[in-house]
Amino acid sequence: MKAAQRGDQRALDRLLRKHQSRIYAICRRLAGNDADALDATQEAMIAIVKGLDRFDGRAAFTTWSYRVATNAALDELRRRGRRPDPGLPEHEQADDTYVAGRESRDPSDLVAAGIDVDHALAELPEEFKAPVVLRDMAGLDYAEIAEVLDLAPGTVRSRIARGRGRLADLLASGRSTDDLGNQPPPDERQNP
Amino acid sequence: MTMTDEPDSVDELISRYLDGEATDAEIARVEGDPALLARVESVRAAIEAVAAPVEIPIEALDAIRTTAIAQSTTSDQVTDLAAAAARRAERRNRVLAIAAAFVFLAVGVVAIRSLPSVSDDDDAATEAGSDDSASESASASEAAEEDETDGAEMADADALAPSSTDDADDMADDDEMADEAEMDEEQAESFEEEPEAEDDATGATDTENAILTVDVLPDELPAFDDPQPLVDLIVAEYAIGFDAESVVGDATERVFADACPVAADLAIEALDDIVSTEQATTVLAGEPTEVVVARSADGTIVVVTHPIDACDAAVVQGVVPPG
Repeated sequence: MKAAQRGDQRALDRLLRKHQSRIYAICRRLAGNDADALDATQEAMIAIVKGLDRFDGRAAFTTWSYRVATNAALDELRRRGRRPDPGLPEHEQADDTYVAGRESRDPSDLVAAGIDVDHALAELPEEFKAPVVLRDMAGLDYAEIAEVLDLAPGTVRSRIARGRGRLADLLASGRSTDDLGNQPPPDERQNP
Repeated sequence: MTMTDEPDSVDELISRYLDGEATDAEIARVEGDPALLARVESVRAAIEAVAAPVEIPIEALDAIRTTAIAQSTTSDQVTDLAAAAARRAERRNRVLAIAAAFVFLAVGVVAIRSLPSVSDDDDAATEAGSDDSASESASASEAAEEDETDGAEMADADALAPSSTDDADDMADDDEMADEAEMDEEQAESFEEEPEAEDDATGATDTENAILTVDVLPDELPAFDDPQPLVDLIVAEYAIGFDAESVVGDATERVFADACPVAADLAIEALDDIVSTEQATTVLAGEPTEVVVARSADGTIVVVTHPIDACDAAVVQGVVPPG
Protein backbone atom coordinates (compact mmCIF):
# COMPACT_ATOMS: atom_id res chain seq x y z
CA MET A 1 0.00 0.00 0.00
CA LYS A 2 2.65 2.47 1.04
CA ALA A 3 4.75 1.61 -1.97
CA ALA A 4 1.74 2.13 -4.22
CA GLN A 5 1.11 5.52 -2.64
CA ARG A 6 4.74 6.44 -3.24
CA GLY A 7 4.27 5.75 -6.92
CA ASP A 8 5.69 2.25 -7.14
CA GLN A 9 3.99 1.03 -10.29
CA ARG A 10 4.43 -2.63 -9.51
CA ALA A 11 2.97 -2.21 -6.05
CA LEU A 12 0.03 -0.26 -7.48
CA ASP A 13 -0.61 -2.96 -10.04
CA ARG A 14 -0.48 -5.63 -7.36
CA LEU A 15 -2.85 -3.70 -5.13
CA LEU A 16 -5.44 -3.22 -7.85
CA ARG A 17 -5.09 -6.75 -9.08
CA LYS A 18 -5.80 -8.07 -5.62
CA HIS A 19 -9.07 -6.16 -5.30
CA GLN A 20 -10.29 -5.88 -8.88
CA SER A 21 -12.50 -8.98 -8.77
CA ARG A 22 -14.40 -7.78 -5.74
CA ILE A 23 -14.71 -4.29 -7.09
CA TYR A 24 -16.11 -5.69 -10.31
CA ALA A 25 -18.51 -8.00 -8.45
CA ILE A 26 -19.98 -5.03 -6.57
CA CYS A 27 -20.31 -3.03 -9.77
CA ARG A 28 -21.86 -6.02 -11.53
CA ARG A 29 -24.55 -6.50 -8.93
CA LEU A 30 -25.34 -2.81 -8.79
CA ALA A 31 -25.22 -2.17 -12.53
CA GLY A 32 -27.07 -5.32 -13.52
CA ASN A 33 -25.18 -6.11 -16.69
CA ASP A 34 -21.62 -6.80 -17.80
CA ALA A 35 -21.10 -3.76 -20.00
CA ASP A 36 -22.17 -1.19 -17.44
CA ALA A 37 -20.30 -3.08 -14.74
CA LEU A 38 -17.05 -2.90 -16.71
CA ASP A 39 -17.52 0.80 -17.34
CA ALA A 40 -18.19 1.40 -13.67
CA THR A 41 -15.19 -0.72 -12.69
CA GLN A 42 -12.92 1.31 -14.92
CA GLU A 43 -14.24 4.54 -13.44
CA ALA A 44 -13.73 3.13 -9.97
CA MET A 45 -10.16 2.01 -10.65
CA ILE A 46 -9.23 5.35 -12.14
CA ALA A 47 -10.71 7.11 -9.14
CA ILE A 48 -8.84 4.79 -6.78
CA VAL A 49 -5.54 5.35 -8.56
CA LYS A 50 -6.02 9.11 -8.63
CA GLY A 51 -7.14 9.28 -5.03
CA LEU A 52 -4.65 6.82 -3.56
CA ASP A 53 -2.20 9.48 -2.46
CA ARG A 54 -4.97 11.08 -0.40
CA PHE A 55 -6.01 7.81 1.23
CA ASP A 56 -5.00 8.30 4.83
CA GLY A 57 -5.35 4.72 5.97
CA ARG A 58 -7.79 5.44 8.77
CA ALA A 59 -10.27 3.11 7.13
CA ALA A 60 -9.43 -0.22 5.60
CA PHE A 61 -8.52 -0.01 1.95
CA THR A 62 -11.37 -2.38 1.17
CA THR A 63 -13.89 -0.07 2.80
CA TRP A 64 -12.56 2.89 0.91
CA SER A 65 -12.30 1.11 -2.43
CA TYR A 66 -15.82 -0.32 -2.10
CA ARG A 67 -17.11 3.17 -1.48
CA VAL A 68 -15.47 4.32 -4.69
CA ALA A 69 -16.84 1.29 -6.54
CA THR A 70 -20.36 1.82 -5.22
CA ASN A 71 -20.37 5.47 -6.21
CA ALA A 72 -19.01 4.64 -9.65
CA ALA A 73 -21.69 2.02 -10.24
CA LEU A 74 -24.51 4.22 -9.04
CA ASP A 75 -23.19 7.09 -11.15
CA GLU A 76 -23.14 4.77 -14.13
CA LEU A 77 -26.75 3.82 -13.50
CA ARG A 78 -27.81 7.43 -13.24
CA ARG A 79 -25.85 8.35 -16.36
CA ARG A 80 -27.45 5.63 -18.38
CA GLY A 81 -30.87 6.31 -16.93
CA ARG A 82 -31.08 2.55 -16.64
CA ARG A 83 -34.60 1.19 -16.50
CA PRO A 84 -35.58 -2.37 -15.84
CA ASP A 85 -35.07 -4.95 -18.53
CA PRO A 86 -36.82 -3.78 -21.69
CA GLY A 87 -38.19 -7.31 -22.06
CA LEU A 88 -40.65 -6.61 -19.26
CA PRO A 89 -44.07 -5.54 -20.43
CA GLU A 90 -44.66 -1.90 -19.66
CA HIS A 91 -47.21 -2.53 -16.93
CA GLU A 92 -44.76 -4.76 -15.13
CA GLN A 93 -41.92 -2.29 -15.03
CA ALA A 94 -41.02 -1.23 -11.55
CA ASP A 95 -41.64 2.11 -10.05
CA ASP A 96 -39.76 3.52 -7.15
CA THR A 97 -42.61 3.55 -4.74
CA TYR A 98 -43.23 0.58 -2.57
CA VAL A 99 -46.67 -0.86 -2.97
CA ALA A 100 -48.18 -1.62 0.40
CA GLY A 101 -49.80 -4.93 0.94
CA ARG A 102 -47.51 -6.89 -1.22
CA GLU A 103 -49.38 -10.07 -0.54
CA SER A 104 -52.03 -8.74 -2.83
CA ARG A 105 -49.68 -8.59 -5.82
CA ASP A 106 -50.82 -11.19 -8.21
CA PRO A 107 -47.90 -13.33 -9.26
CA SER A 108 -49.41 -13.67 -12.68
CA ASP A 109 -49.01 -9.92 -13.18
CA LEU A 110 -45.27 -10.18 -12.89
CA VAL A 111 -42.81 -11.47 -15.47
CA ALA A 112 -43.42 -15.19 -15.66
CA ALA A 113 -40.09 -16.76 -16.33
CA GLY A 114 -36.56 -15.51 -16.25
CA ILE A 115 -36.86 -12.95 -13.45
CA ASP A 116 -33.54 -13.37 -11.84
CA VAL A 117 -31.55 -11.51 -9.29
CA ASP A 118 -30.33 -8.92 -11.81
CA HIS A 119 -33.87 -8.09 -12.80
CA ALA A 120 -35.00 -8.12 -9.20
CA LEU A 121 -32.17 -5.82 -8.13
CA ALA A 122 -32.92 -3.54 -11.06
CA GLU A 123 -36.36 -3.03 -9.57
CA LEU A 124 -35.03 -2.05 -6.18
CA PRO A 125 -34.66 1.63 -5.44
CA GLU A 126 -31.07 2.76 -5.24
CA GLU A 127 -31.29 3.42 -1.51
CA PHE A 128 -32.06 -0.24 -0.89
CA LYS A 129 -29.95 -1.79 -3.62
CA ALA A 130 -26.55 -0.45 -2.53
CA PRO A 131 -26.74 -1.49 1.14
CA VAL A 132 -28.10 -4.93 0.23
CA VAL A 133 -25.30 -5.53 -2.27
CA LEU A 134 -22.62 -4.29 0.11
CA ARG A 135 -23.97 -6.50 2.88
CA ASP A 136 -24.85 -9.69 1.05
CA MET A 137 -22.43 -9.57 -1.88
CA ALA A 138 -19.41 -7.79 -0.44
CA GLY A 139 -19.83 -9.02 3.13
CA LEU A 140 -19.37 -5.65 4.80
CA ASP A 141 -20.76 -5.22 8.28
CA TYR A 142 -23.29 -2.55 9.14
CA ALA A 143 -20.71 -0.11 10.44
CA GLU A 144 -18.64 -0.42 7.29
CA ILE A 145 -21.68 0.04 5.08
CA ALA A 146 -22.64 3.11 7.06
CA GLU A 147 -19.18 4.49 6.41
CA VAL A 148 -19.25 3.61 2.73
CA LEU A 149 -22.67 5.15 2.16
CA ASP A 150 -22.30 7.92 4.70
CA LEU A 151 -25.45 6.88 6.53
CA ALA A 152 -26.35 6.26 10.11
CA PRO A 153 -26.02 2.57 11.06
CA GLY A 154 -29.69 2.42 11.98
CA THR A 155 -30.65 3.68 8.55
CA VAL A 156 -28.41 1.08 6.96
CA ARG A 157 -30.02 -1.66 9.00
CA SER A 158 -33.50 -0.56 8.06
CA ARG A 159 -32.75 -0.24 4.37
CA ILE A 160 -31.09 -3.62 4.22
CA ALA A 161 -34.06 -5.25 5.87
CA ARG A 162 -36.54 -3.58 3.56
CA GLY A 163 -34.38 -4.20 0.52
CA ARG A 164 -34.05 -7.87 1.32
CA GLY A 165 -37.77 -8.11 1.86
CA ARG A 166 -38.62 -6.54 -1.48
CA LEU A 167 -36.07 -8.70 -3.20
CA ALA A 168 -37.55 -11.79 -1.61
CA ASP A 169 -40.97 -10.83 -2.92
CA LEU A 170 -39.69 -10.26 -6.43
CA LEU A 171 -37.74 -13.48 -6.55
CA ALA A 172 -40.48 -15.53 -4.91
CA SER A 173 -43.06 -14.17 -7.29
CA GLY A 174 -40.96 -15.11 -10.26
CA ARG A 175 -40.28 -18.62 -8.98
CA SER A 176 -43.84 -19.17 -7.84
CA THR A 177 -45.06 -18.28 -11.30
CA ASP A 178 -42.76 -20.90 -12.73
CA ASP A 179 -43.62 -23.45 -10.09
CA LEU A 180 -47.31 -23.06 -10.52
CA GLY A 181 -46.97 -23.08 -14.27
CA ASN A 182 -49.00 -19.94 -14.39
CA GLN A 183 -46.93 -18.46 -17.10
CA PRO A 184 -48.96 -16.28 -19.37
CA PRO A 185 -49.08 -17.66 -22.87
CA PRO A 186 -46.32 -16.21 -24.98
CA ASP A 187 -48.69 -14.05 -26.98
CA GLU A 188 -49.91 -12.35 -23.82
CA ARG A 189 -46.32 -11.46 -22.93
CA GLN A 190 -46.07 -9.25 -25.94
CA ASN A 191 -47.06 -5.62 -25.82
CA PRO A 192 -50.33 -5.28 -23.95
CA MET B 1 -46.92 -13.29 11.97
CA THR B 2 -49.79 -11.16 13.04
CA MET B 3 -51.81 -9.17 10.58
CA THR B 4 -51.21 -6.03 12.56
CA ASP B 5 -47.46 -6.25 12.16
CA GLU B 6 -46.13 -3.77 9.68
CA PRO B 7 -44.35 -5.58 6.87
CA ASP B 8 -41.20 -3.52 7.41
CA SER B 9 -40.96 -4.35 11.06
CA VAL B 10 -41.39 -8.02 10.21
CA ASP B 11 -38.62 -7.78 7.63
CA GLU B 12 -36.37 -6.05 10.13
CA LEU B 13 -37.02 -8.86 12.58
CA ILE B 14 -36.28 -11.44 9.87
CA SER B 15 -33.13 -9.55 8.86
CA ARG B 16 -31.86 -9.48 12.45
CA TYR B 17 -32.63 -13.15 12.75
CA LEU B 18 -30.68 -14.01 9.61
CA ASP B 19 -27.77 -11.81 10.64
CA GLY B 20 -27.57 -13.54 13.98
CA GLU B 21 -28.47 -10.37 15.83
CA ALA B 22 -31.93 -11.27 17.10
CA THR B 23 -32.59 -11.41 20.82
CA ASP B 24 -33.60 -14.67 22.46
CA ALA B 25 -37.19 -13.52 22.56
CA GLU B 26 -37.13 -12.63 18.89
CA ILE B 27 -35.57 -15.97 17.99
CA ALA B 28 -38.28 -17.76 19.88
CA ARG B 29 -40.95 -15.70 18.18
CA VAL B 30 -39.61 -16.44 14.69
CA GLU B 31 -39.03 -20.11 15.28
CA GLY B 32 -42.43 -20.55 16.83
CA ASP B 33 -44.33 -19.05 13.90
CA PRO B 34 -44.54 -21.04 10.62
CA ALA B 35 -45.38 -17.93 8.64
CA LEU B 36 -42.30 -16.17 9.95
CA LEU B 37 -40.15 -19.20 9.24
CA ALA B 38 -41.47 -19.25 5.69
CA ARG B 39 -40.56 -15.60 5.41
CA VAL B 40 -37.08 -16.40 6.74
CA GLU B 41 -36.57 -18.91 3.95
CA SER B 42 -37.79 -16.46 1.35
CA VAL B 43 -35.43 -13.72 2.51
CA ARG B 44 -32.58 -16.21 2.91
CA ALA B 45 -33.04 -17.20 -0.74
CA ALA B 46 -32.82 -13.53 -1.71
CA ILE B 47 -29.61 -13.09 0.25
CA GLU B 48 -28.10 -16.15 -1.36
CA ALA B 49 -29.09 -14.91 -4.78
CA VAL B 50 -27.32 -11.59 -4.22
CA ALA B 51 -24.30 -13.37 -2.74
CA ALA B 52 -24.01 -15.80 -5.64
CA PRO B 53 -20.65 -15.45 -7.37
CA VAL B 54 -20.53 -13.44 -10.56
CA GLU B 55 -18.40 -14.45 -13.50
CA ILE B 56 -15.21 -12.42 -13.38
CA PRO B 57 -13.88 -11.27 -16.79
CA ILE B 58 -10.21 -11.43 -15.87
CA GLU B 59 -8.82 -10.29 -19.20
CA ALA B 60 -11.14 -7.31 -19.37
CA LEU B 61 -10.25 -6.36 -15.81
CA ASP B 62 -6.55 -6.65 -16.54
CA ALA B 63 -6.98 -4.24 -19.45
CA ILE B 64 -8.98 -1.87 -17.28
CA ARG B 65 -6.36 -2.00 -14.57
CA THR B 66 -3.63 -1.13 -17.04
CA THR B 67 -5.66 1.77 -18.37
CA ALA B 68 -6.37 3.05 -14.88
CA ILE B 69 -2.72 3.02 -13.90
CA ALA B 70 -1.77 4.78 -17.11
CA GLN B 71 -4.30 7.51 -16.42
CA SER B 72 -3.14 8.08 -12.91
CA THR B 73 -2.42 11.72 -12.07
CA THR B 74 0.81 10.51 -10.55
CA SER B 75 1.88 8.69 -13.68
CA ASP B 76 4.61 11.25 -14.38
CA GLN B 77 5.94 10.64 -10.91
CA VAL B 78 5.60 6.90 -11.07
CA THR B 79 8.96 5.27 -11.28
CA ASP B 80 9.56 2.71 -13.92
CA LEU B 81 11.64 0.41 -11.79
CA ALA B 82 13.25 -1.44 -14.61
CA ALA B 83 14.38 1.75 -16.35
CA ALA B 84 15.64 3.28 -13.11
CA ALA B 85 17.58 0.16 -12.28
CA ALA B 86 19.04 0.07 -15.76
CA ARG B 87 20.14 3.69 -15.53
CA ARG B 88 21.79 3.10 -12.18
CA ALA B 89 23.52 0.01 -13.48
CA GLU B 90 24.73 1.91 -16.52
CA ARG B 91 26.22 4.67 -14.39
CA ARG B 92 27.86 2.18 -12.08
CA ASN B 93 29.33 0.30 -14.99
CA ARG B 94 30.63 3.50 -16.56
CA VAL B 95 32.35 4.52 -13.35
CA LEU B 96 33.80 1.08 -12.88
CA ALA B 97 35.00 0.94 -16.47
CA ILE B 98 36.83 4.25 -16.15
CA ALA B 99 38.35 3.27 -12.84
CA ALA B 100 39.43 -0.03 -14.31
CA ALA B 101 41.02 1.77 -17.23
CA PHE B 102 43.11 3.89 -14.90
CA VAL B 103 44.17 0.86 -12.93
CA PHE B 104 45.24 -0.95 -16.07
CA LEU B 105 47.07 2.15 -17.24
CA ALA B 106 48.90 2.45 -13.97
CA VAL B 107 49.79 -1.21 -13.92
CA GLY B 108 51.03 -0.90 -17.47
CA VAL B 109 53.25 2.05 -16.63
CA VAL B 110 54.73 0.25 -13.66
CA ALA B 111 55.31 -2.84 -15.74
CA ILE B 112 57.00 -0.94 -18.49
CA ARG B 113 59.23 1.01 -16.16
CA SER B 114 60.25 -2.06 -14.23
CA LEU B 115 61.53 -3.77 -17.36
CA PRO B 116 65.34 -3.64 -17.71
CA SER B 117 66.28 -0.83 -20.11
CA VAL B 118 69.17 -1.61 -22.60
CA SER B 119 70.23 2.06 -23.16
CA ASP B 120 70.44 2.78 -19.44
CA ASP B 121 72.69 -0.18 -18.82
CA ASP B 122 75.03 0.93 -21.57
CA ASP B 123 75.26 4.41 -20.16
CA ALA B 124 76.08 3.01 -16.79
CA ALA B 125 78.76 0.77 -18.28
CA THR B 126 80.25 3.66 -20.22
CA GLU B 127 80.38 5.77 -17.12
CA ALA B 128 81.83 2.93 -15.23
CA GLY B 129 84.43 2.33 -17.90
CA SER B 130 85.45 5.96 -18.06
CA ASP B 131 85.96 6.23 -14.33
CA ASP B 132 88.71 4.45 -12.49
CA SER B 133 86.45 4.05 -9.45
CA ALA B 134 84.14 1.09 -10.11
CA SER B 135 82.46 1.74 -6.83
CA GLU B 136 81.79 5.29 -7.80
CA SER B 137 80.26 4.01 -10.99
CA ALA B 138 78.32 1.40 -9.17
CA SER B 139 77.15 3.97 -6.71
CA ALA B 140 76.33 6.29 -9.50
CA SER B 141 74.39 3.57 -11.31
CA GLU B 142 72.72 2.55 -8.14
CA ALA B 143 71.84 6.10 -7.48
CA ALA B 144 70.64 6.43 -11.03
CA GLU B 145 68.55 3.33 -10.64
CA GLU B 146 67.14 4.63 -7.40
CA ASP B 147 66.35 7.87 -9.08
CA GLU B 148 64.73 6.01 -11.87
CA THR B 149 62.74 3.94 -9.41
CA ASP B 150 61.72 7.04 -7.55
CA GLY B 151 60.95 8.64 -10.83
CA ALA B 152 58.92 5.65 -11.87
CA GLU B 153 57.06 5.77 -8.60
CA MET B 154 56.47 9.44 -9.03
CA ALA B 155 55.37 8.75 -12.56
CA ASP B 156 53.00 6.10 -11.19
CA ALA B 157 51.60 8.61 -8.77
CA ASP B 158 51.27 11.13 -11.53
CA ALA B 159 49.57 8.56 -13.67
CA LEU B 160 46.98 8.01 -10.96
CA ALA B 161 46.68 11.67 -10.16
CA PRO B 162 45.35 14.20 -12.55
CA SER B 163 48.25 15.16 -14.69
CA SER B 164 46.36 17.43 -16.94
CA THR B 165 43.29 19.55 -16.88
CA ASP B 166 41.38 17.11 -19.05
CA ASP B 167 42.25 14.22 -16.81
CA ALA B 168 41.21 16.20 -13.79
CA ASP B 169 37.90 17.03 -15.38
CA ASP B 170 37.33 13.40 -16.24
CA MET B 171 38.06 12.36 -12.71
CA ALA B 172 35.79 15.07 -11.39
CA ASP B 173 33.03 13.92 -13.70
CA ASP B 174 33.57 10.37 -12.55
CA ASP B 175 33.39 11.49 -8.95
CA GLU B 176 30.16 13.32 -9.68
CA MET B 177 28.68 10.30 -11.36
CA ALA B 178 29.76 8.11 -8.48
CA ASP B 179 28.18 10.55 -6.02
CA GLU B 180 25.06 10.77 -8.14
CA ALA B 181 24.85 7.01 -8.33
CA GLU B 182 25.25 6.83 -4.59
CA MET B 183 22.55 9.45 -4.03
CA ASP B 184 20.26 7.66 -6.43
CA GLU B 185 20.91 4.50 -4.52
CA GLU B 186 19.89 6.15 -1.27
CA GLN B 187 16.88 8.03 -2.60
CA ALA B 188 15.54 5.14 -4.62
CA GLU B 189 16.33 2.54 -2.01
CA SER B 190 12.75 1.47 -1.75
CA PHE B 191 12.49 0.98 -5.51
CA GLU B 192 15.13 -1.73 -5.60
CA GLU B 193 13.77 -4.80 -7.34
CA GLU B 194 14.83 -6.99 -4.49
CA PRO B 195 14.47 -4.82 -1.43
CA GLU B 196 15.70 -6.17 1.82
CA ALA B 197 13.02 -4.21 3.64
CA GLU B 198 10.58 -1.41 3.04
CA ASP B 199 11.27 2.05 4.34
CA ASP B 200 9.56 1.60 7.69
CA ALA B 201 11.61 -1.44 8.68
CA THR B 202 14.31 -1.09 11.24
CA GLY B 203 16.43 -3.61 9.41
CA ALA B 204 17.60 -4.93 12.75
CA THR B 205 18.89 -8.42 12.72
CA ASP B 206 19.53 -9.19 16.34
CA THR B 207 16.88 -11.14 18.17
CA GLU B 208 16.02 -8.36 20.54
CA ASN B 209 15.24 -5.85 17.85
CA ALA B 210 13.62 -8.37 15.49
CA ILE B 211 10.46 -8.11 17.56
CA LEU B 212 9.95 -4.61 16.19
CA THR B 213 10.82 -5.47 12.64
CA VAL B 214 8.13 -5.73 10.01
CA ASP B 215 8.26 -5.96 6.24
CA VAL B 216 10.94 -8.63 6.27
CA LEU B 217 9.33 -10.73 3.56
CA PRO B 218 10.58 -9.99 0.08
CA ASP B 219 7.98 -9.02 -2.48
CA GLU B 220 8.47 -12.31 -4.26
CA LEU B 221 9.10 -15.64 -2.63
CA PRO B 222 10.48 -18.66 -4.44
CA ALA B 223 8.09 -20.85 -6.34
CA PHE B 224 6.84 -24.07 -4.80
CA ASP B 225 4.84 -27.02 -5.97
CA ASP B 226 3.34 -27.55 -2.52
CA PRO B 227 2.37 -25.11 0.22
CA GLN B 228 4.19 -26.82 3.11
CA PRO B 229 7.72 -25.89 1.96
CA LEU B 230 6.45 -22.34 1.53
CA VAL B 231 5.22 -22.28 5.12
CA ASP B 232 8.45 -23.85 6.35
CA LEU B 233 10.51 -21.25 4.50
CA ILE B 234 8.53 -18.32 5.88
CA VAL B 235 8.71 -19.55 9.45
CA ALA B 236 12.34 -20.61 9.34
CA GLU B 237 13.92 -17.84 7.32
CA TYR B 238 12.05 -14.66 8.18
CA ALA B 239 11.81 -13.09 11.61
CA ILE B 240 8.25 -11.88 11.32
CA GLY B 241 8.09 -9.14 13.88
CA PHE B 242 5.36 -6.84 15.00
CA ASP B 243 4.67 -3.22 14.36
CA ALA B 244 4.41 -1.50 17.71
CA GLU B 245 1.96 1.03 16.30
CA SER B 246 -0.41 -1.68 15.24
CA VAL B 247 -1.19 -2.81 18.76
CA VAL B 248 -2.70 0.57 19.57
CA GLY B 249 -6.24 1.22 18.56
CA ASP B 250 -8.01 -0.89 16.00
CA ALA B 251 -5.09 -3.13 15.25
CA THR B 252 -6.83 -5.71 13.16
CA GLU B 253 -8.26 -3.27 10.66
CA ARG B 254 -5.01 -1.38 10.26
CA VAL B 255 -2.74 -4.35 9.86
CA PHE B 256 -5.04 -5.82 7.22
CA ALA B 257 -5.51 -2.51 5.51
CA ASP B 258 -4.85 -3.76 2.00
CA ALA B 259 -5.05 -7.52 2.28
CA CYS B 260 -7.62 -9.72 0.62
CA PRO B 261 -10.64 -9.61 2.98
CA VAL B 262 -11.20 -13.35 2.86
CA ALA B 263 -7.57 -14.03 3.68
CA ALA B 264 -7.74 -11.48 6.47
CA ASP B 265 -10.82 -13.17 7.93
CA LEU B 266 -9.14 -16.56 7.82
CA ALA B 267 -6.09 -15.21 9.58
CA ILE B 268 -8.25 -13.53 12.23
CA GLU B 269 -10.09 -16.79 12.81
CA ALA B 270 -6.83 -18.69 13.18
CA LEU B 271 -5.02 -16.33 15.54
CA ASP B 272 -5.83 -14.30 18.61
CA ASP B 273 -4.36 -10.87 19.01
CA ILE B 274 -2.80 -10.36 15.61
CA VAL B 275 -0.10 -7.76 15.78
CA SER B 276 1.30 -7.68 12.28
CA THR B 277 0.81 -8.95 8.78
CA GLU B 278 2.98 -9.18 5.76
CA GLN B 279 2.27 -9.99 2.17
CA ALA B 280 4.25 -11.40 -0.68
CA THR B 281 3.69 -13.20 -3.93
CA THR B 282 4.85 -16.56 -5.09
CA VAL B 283 4.02 -19.18 -7.67
CA LEU B 284 2.34 -22.14 -6.03
CA ALA B 285 1.81 -25.22 -8.14
CA GLY B 286 2.30 -23.09 -11.20
CA GLU B 287 -0.25 -20.45 -10.22
CA PRO B 288 0.55 -16.83 -9.30
CA THR B 289 -0.36 -16.66 -5.63
CA GLU B 290 -0.70 -14.02 -2.98
CA VAL B 291 0.72 -14.93 0.42
CA VAL B 292 -0.63 -13.30 3.57
CA VAL B 293 1.33 -13.90 6.75
CA ALA B 294 -0.01 -12.85 10.13
CA ARG B 295 1.67 -12.92 13.50
CA SER B 296 0.04 -12.96 16.90
CA ALA B 297 1.40 -11.41 20.05
CA ASP B 298 2.67 -14.77 21.29
CA GLY B 299 4.59 -15.36 18.08
CA THR B 300 2.26 -17.76 16.33
CA ILE B 301 2.41 -17.43 12.58
CA VAL B 302 -0.41 -18.15 10.14
CA VAL B 303 0.15 -18.39 6.41
CA VAL B 304 -2.80 -17.85 4.10
CA THR B 305 -2.63 -18.04 0.33
CA HIS B 306 -4.98 -17.28 -2.52
CA PRO B 307 -4.64 -17.08 -6.29
CA ILE B 308 -3.85 -13.50 -7.14
CA ASP B 309 -7.11 -13.04 -9.01
CA ALA B 310 -9.28 -15.03 -6.62
CA CYS B 311 -9.44 -13.61 -3.12
CA ASP B 312 -12.43 -15.82 -2.36
CA ALA B 313 -10.28 -18.93 -2.82
CA ALA B 314 -8.05 -18.06 0.14
CA VAL B 315 -6.99 -21.00 2.29
CA VAL B 316 -4.97 -21.37 5.45
CA GLN B 317 -1.77 -23.23 4.64
CA GLY B 318 -0.33 -23.41 8.11
CA VAL B 319 -0.55 -22.20 11.69
CA VAL B 320 2.82 -22.47 13.39
CA PRO B 321 3.23 -21.85 17.10
CA PRO B 322 6.36 -20.11 18.34
CA GLY B 323 9.50 -22.12 18.85
